[in-house]
Amino acid sequence: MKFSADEIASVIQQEIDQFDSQVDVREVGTVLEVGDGIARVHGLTGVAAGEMVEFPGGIIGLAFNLEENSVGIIILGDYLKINEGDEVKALGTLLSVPVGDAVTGRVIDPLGNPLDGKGPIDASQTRPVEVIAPGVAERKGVHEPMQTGLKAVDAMTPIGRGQRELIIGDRKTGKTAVAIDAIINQKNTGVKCFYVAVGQKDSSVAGVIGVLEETGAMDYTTVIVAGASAPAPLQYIAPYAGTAMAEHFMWDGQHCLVVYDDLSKQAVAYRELSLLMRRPPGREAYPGDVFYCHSRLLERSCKLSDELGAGSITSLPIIETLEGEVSAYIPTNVISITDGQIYVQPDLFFRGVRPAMNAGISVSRVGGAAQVKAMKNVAGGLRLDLAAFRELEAFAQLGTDLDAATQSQLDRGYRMVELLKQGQYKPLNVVDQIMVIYAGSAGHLDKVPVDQVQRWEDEFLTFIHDKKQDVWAQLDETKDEGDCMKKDDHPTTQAVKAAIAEFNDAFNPSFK
Amino acid sequence: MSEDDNKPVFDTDQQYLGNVYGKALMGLADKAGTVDQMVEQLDSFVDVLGQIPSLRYALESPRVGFAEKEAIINKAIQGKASPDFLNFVKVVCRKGRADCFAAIRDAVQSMHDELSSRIRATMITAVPVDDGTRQKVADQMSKILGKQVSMTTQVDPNIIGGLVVRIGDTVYDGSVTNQLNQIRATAVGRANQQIRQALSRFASDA
Repeated sequence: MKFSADEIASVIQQEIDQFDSQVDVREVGTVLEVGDGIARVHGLTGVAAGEMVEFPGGIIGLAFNLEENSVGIIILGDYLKINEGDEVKALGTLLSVPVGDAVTGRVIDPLGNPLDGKGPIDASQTRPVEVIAPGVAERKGVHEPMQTGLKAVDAMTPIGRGQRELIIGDRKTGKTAVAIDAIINQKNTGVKCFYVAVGQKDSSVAGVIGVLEETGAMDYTTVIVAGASAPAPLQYIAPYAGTAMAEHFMWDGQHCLVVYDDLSKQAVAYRELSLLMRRPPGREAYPGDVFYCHSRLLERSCKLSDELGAGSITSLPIIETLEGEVSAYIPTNVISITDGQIYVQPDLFFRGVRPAMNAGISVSRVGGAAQVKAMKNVAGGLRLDLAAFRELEAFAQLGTDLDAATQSQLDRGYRMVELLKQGQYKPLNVVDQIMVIYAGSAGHLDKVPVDQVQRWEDEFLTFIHDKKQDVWAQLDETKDEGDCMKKDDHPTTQAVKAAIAEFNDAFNPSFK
Repeated sequence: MSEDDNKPVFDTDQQYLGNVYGKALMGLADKAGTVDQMVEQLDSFVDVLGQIPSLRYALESPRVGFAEKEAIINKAIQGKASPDFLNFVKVVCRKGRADCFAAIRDAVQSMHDELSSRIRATMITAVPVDDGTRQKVADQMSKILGKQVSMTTQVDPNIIGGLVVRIGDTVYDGSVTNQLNQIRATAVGRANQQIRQALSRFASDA
């Protein structure tokens, strides 16, 4: 590629000819001290809280603390390039990020700078990072399902569009995996996804991006990265920046899914900033407004009313607990803000139950209103079966002879647990989920050995897709009817039952 | 060493103390109706402290007892200062705040300016300007701001040309350096945009 110097020179000359010089009026201050990602500045008497300021070299900061004779500024960039005595300029605006289709499919930092090497972000619009969440009158109740593709979640703790569902658990229990499966499952649904990585290892984020690219999910996903080595101010604003980008689509009438991975690290970054700014520490040394830090973020995820376009943002915040301590400060805060929790537990994980969701204590406060009718009908029995099973599991360990009813309940329970296990990055369509869960709860799996259940499921779904496309289509069409899969005389129920029976005839349990 | 002396030193604790004592002094002067004299006395006293370091050290040192300090102050300025001002200096020393006189002077100056609707401004030029030009600029600023502007000058060859006026924390930048930066930013930005939009016009596969 050869560049024509004459053409470029003519363009630049045109610009110079058209240049209209103006006197530049700016508010300035002088850096008193700088270090650890923050700076104290003398002057800037007219600056407002949260206003953007600029250091020499183009580094941006935010006015965080307004004190009597100085301003505390958090530096959104490399603080090592700033010296004492530097002039700081107030920009008179709030922090904004680029939004729109220009950011879809890209990997960017919280300020909108590209990190994937695919060229600059040409965004025509920007949105402020901090906004007040929509009020009560601007919202509508959550009533559409947001399918995660995980049987355990969609059946027992269904998530709706506009809901905030917390994923909480110890380290390495599969929290991010749940969120990534949800993102992958949004393919062909028109839902825009945002994955905000706060304080994560860059290698983990690279792994996630690799998976999203392989499965084709990057076409509708934006990844916002403020890694572990990013300055604390960037880690602090990353979730707000991600939400601002999602709000652009929400106000346009579209649906979005935002994953915050994870908010515990954002709280730690906020604590670091507050302590450096000498704000008084509270419980566990977190500042007094750490609840507000999370509540104003999560309140922005909502379902808008029909007059405003009926768009929505669903958010999946992730919180890491230490040793299962869900009554610590930050976990209890976020639990009280969100509309439900998915608890993932290490003992389930190591026992082979993956996703390691504890159905007993996991909850979705929106529940059935956000569930496809057919799924609601089949999953009703599932929760009860599992609850009864858990009670009886202790008996099984005693090794005593049990009566037939108890034994059958135990057997059913083992099979349902086995059914809910799912491979990573393999989200299931809701129609597939309904059929499989119906098969389990209606007793069609009782003759299948427990260790064959997963194979049964794989081969059954292959059978349906290869030979019984019409049954699949029928269920797909009627899944929103109130009686679908509930009563035995409903045509769809009968069709599915027949298909299962046909498959069971051919299924050979002893074939390994 | 001399360059460090020229750089302004900001100490917010001192600034706060200066405000407190300055307010007290202004209140006293206001009641007695001697504001201008008080300001002038304070100004010259601080200059004297700057010129005679040993006097300043003596007043600031915690090892010198208050009686001795009082004697030093009496010997130095009694007779040349008003009794109110003399008392003020003694009170400041008794409270152990003798190191704050410069900050007190700054605070009093800004309070006095505010009371008499005066603004101090600094004019920065690339080459030294004569008094006539300085006065003209000061008059122009006074007209714009509606208050009387007293202008000091500074020379900074880095601005290449033009004028920069700094009033408090607001800077009116009409320097050539700033204009060049502006041109650079807009020209490069827009050229960039145009090139990206019509790449074929600017590049050919060779």
